Parts: sequence; structure tokens; C-alpha cells
Amino acid sequence: MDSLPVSRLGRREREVMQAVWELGRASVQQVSERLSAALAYTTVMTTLDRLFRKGLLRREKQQRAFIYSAALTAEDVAGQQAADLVRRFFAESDAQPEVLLSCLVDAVHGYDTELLDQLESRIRRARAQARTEKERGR
Amino acid sequence: MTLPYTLRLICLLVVVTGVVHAALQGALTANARRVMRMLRGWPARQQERILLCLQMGPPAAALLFAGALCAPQYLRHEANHAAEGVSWACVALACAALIWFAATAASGLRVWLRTVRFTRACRRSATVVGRHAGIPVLAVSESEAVVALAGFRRPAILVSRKLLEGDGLGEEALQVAFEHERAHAQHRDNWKLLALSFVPQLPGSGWMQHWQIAADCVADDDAAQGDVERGLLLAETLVRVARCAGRRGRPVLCTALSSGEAGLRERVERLTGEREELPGTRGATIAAMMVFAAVAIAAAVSASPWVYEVCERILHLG
Repeated sequence: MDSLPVSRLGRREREVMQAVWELGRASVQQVSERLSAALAYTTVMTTLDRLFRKGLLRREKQQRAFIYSAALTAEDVAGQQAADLVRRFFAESDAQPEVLLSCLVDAVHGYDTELLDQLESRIRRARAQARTEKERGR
Repeated sequence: MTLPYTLRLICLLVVVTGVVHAALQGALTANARRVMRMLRGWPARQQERILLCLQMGPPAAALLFAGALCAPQYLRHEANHAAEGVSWACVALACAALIWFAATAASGLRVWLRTVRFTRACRRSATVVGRHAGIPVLAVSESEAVVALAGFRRPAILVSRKLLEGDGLGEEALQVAFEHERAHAQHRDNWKLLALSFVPQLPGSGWMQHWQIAADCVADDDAAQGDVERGLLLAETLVRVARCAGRRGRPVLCTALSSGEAGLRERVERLTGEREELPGTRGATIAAMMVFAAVAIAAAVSASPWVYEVCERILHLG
């Protein structure tokens, strides 16, 4: 199902699919009569053939003509279009271990060097003080 | 606009939830400085809990108000079960609230999926260099210095290879850094981050950052274990990791060792003993929270006779 390109159906393809869903089983002639715009018989035939190749229609030969029926229901297609949309929405992924880890929150990981120097000197002072207190304790 | 009974009820509940949530969050944001001043000097654990409650409170209160007060009152008193006109202002408010909630949910979902994929990718391709208190430690080929806890159900500590090799962090420094991440895992901070990412936020609230600093302070305390030497070693490690950290995006949700500048300063000051904490005020906190809850419940109960009227006014705004 994933490979069916339902989300990429053109306007004419959607219209033809709609006609097939309404008719159930139909020949090229019947579909072309059902369409709102008058299209050439060959255009409808090509569109039906394209939809068959995409796996959205089934067809069987009766005498010298093909009879088409839908391989998917309208609900299936709508559901898959929604799923495609969601998949595309979440597709942008930086899921590589090389990507820098950081928090969701606004923790900016670019530090002012002066601040880091200040903090380091504070730590040194605290260490010296701790050492002095330890020695006094002895 | 004419809406059937059920849609009217849904519209009302969405508007009430959105408005109450926005109002509470707006009030908290307006008083953020005052609240943070009040919390200064409190034990980190209590600060973290209060900041978490302050963020989860507005949506919880809004849902409670809409679900436990408005919905029953409307169901009980609304006699007209047929379609009825609703003002466009109310419909517009409902749409705005729905868009706000949906956008937050989509963004939370997106960051959650990214994190899950990222953690899986790490587990597949990174080298397991050991375990710390049962949590796997994975070495990642990251060009910048990173120590972080990623994942929800089975979290892993990720550490840049460069911190493990050559002139990276020493064994003691690594142990204390891993202990900090273990504390995050123990307190389920990644789950809390995930929950918070689903809470609709007003711009500029900053509560998330305050909470993260408090959660980092709690993890620092757990890692230092009350030992001055360990605390100073952790402070040194924080500065050292910060020196090698770069400025990049934030693609996934995890608790990293190094936080933003304000957080780093605060944490180092705590670890070097420059910031003093008040003795535990757990009793006072619980009492304050109970008083707040009691006032909220009393206000809700006393307002209940007018709730239906308010609901009707909301539906026919303007």
C-alpha cells in the first residue's frame, strides 16, 4: 500500500477515479460519458490505463474492450492520502548520531568565553578554599 | 452561525479550555519574575516540582473547568436540543483555540518521533562503551562535546567520542557526568520534557527554561552526593564541556549535561557554594499548594450557579 501514489493523483485522475467509484464497473465509453468535461476517448483510455498501472484500478477484458473497477475504495484512498501527508510531515528527520544533541528548551549552546573564564576562576577559588578548610580541620 | 446541540457543546468546551488555559498562563507569565524571586533559595527539588506544576497546572485546570463544571451545567440546563445560532466571535475563538492545541500537539508529536528515531539510530550505530547504573553508555562520533541522556522507556547516555579519548574528560569527571545523567533518568526528566512539549505555551513564558535549570540542579545535587570535591569536579566538567560545545539547532528532546548560559552560571554557583539554599520547606510548599487548590475548588463551586449563564454568554458573544 505504501508504494501507491494516491497522494500524487492529478485532477483528471481523481475525476476518473470518482467516476469509476460511482459506476462500480465501467468501460472507457461509460467513464467518458460520466465526466463533467468532454474529453477525447483516447484521453480517458490513457488515464484509465495509467490508473491501472498505478494499481488503483483493476481491469478485465470483455470481448474487445476493457472493463475497469476500483482496486481501492474512496475511503482507502482518503486514508492513504492522510497517511502520506503525515509521513511527509514527519519525514524531515535529523536522526543521525552525528547530529548534536541539545535540549528542546531554549538552552543556547554558544557560550561567552569571558563567562567561562569567570566560572573557572570561581571554581579554582572554591577549590582553594575547600583545601584550606580541610587543612584547618586536620 | 447555526450549530446543532453537540457541535455547540464542543465549541463551548474548546473555547472555555482555550480561554482558561491562556488566562492562567498569561497570569503566570506576567508574574514570572515574582514567582522566581519567591522560589530563589528554595531546595532545587522543590523548585523543580513547583515549576513543573506551574506548567501542567493551567491545562489541567482548564480541562477540569471545562469538563467538570461547564459540560455538566450545560448538559443539565440547556433545554434546546435543536440547532441554535452561535456567534461568529465564539466560532472564531474555538477555531483559534483548536489551531493552537493542534499546532502544539503536532510539534510535540514531531519532536517525539524525531527523538525516538534518533535514539534508535544511536543504538544501531554507536558503540556501547559500558553501562552506568544499568544505563548503556554509547559513544557517538560527534564533533562537539556532548554528554546527554536520550530516550524514554530505555534511555541511554550518549557521550562524544572526543570526551572519552586523549585529552577528553578524566575517569572521575566522566563518572560524575554519567551520575548526573543517571539522576535525570531516575527522575524521568525526558518524560517530563515530553509532557511539557505537549502543553500549549504563550510566547515568551520562559517557564520551560526555568524548569530545565531546576531539573539540572536536582541532577547536580544527586551527582555531587553532598560531597564538596565531587561538586567542584562536576562544576569543572560543566565548564569544560561548555567550552567545546557549539551553537547548533535542537533537533531532538533529551537532557544534556550542559545547559544555557544562565543555567550554567547558576549551577556552577550552587556547586561552588556561592548560592545558599534555605532549609527544606516541604511542609510549607504542601500547605501552600493545598490552600491554592482549596481556593480554586471553592471558587469553582461558588461560581457553579452562574456557569450556565456564562456558557450562554460565551456562545452568543458580541
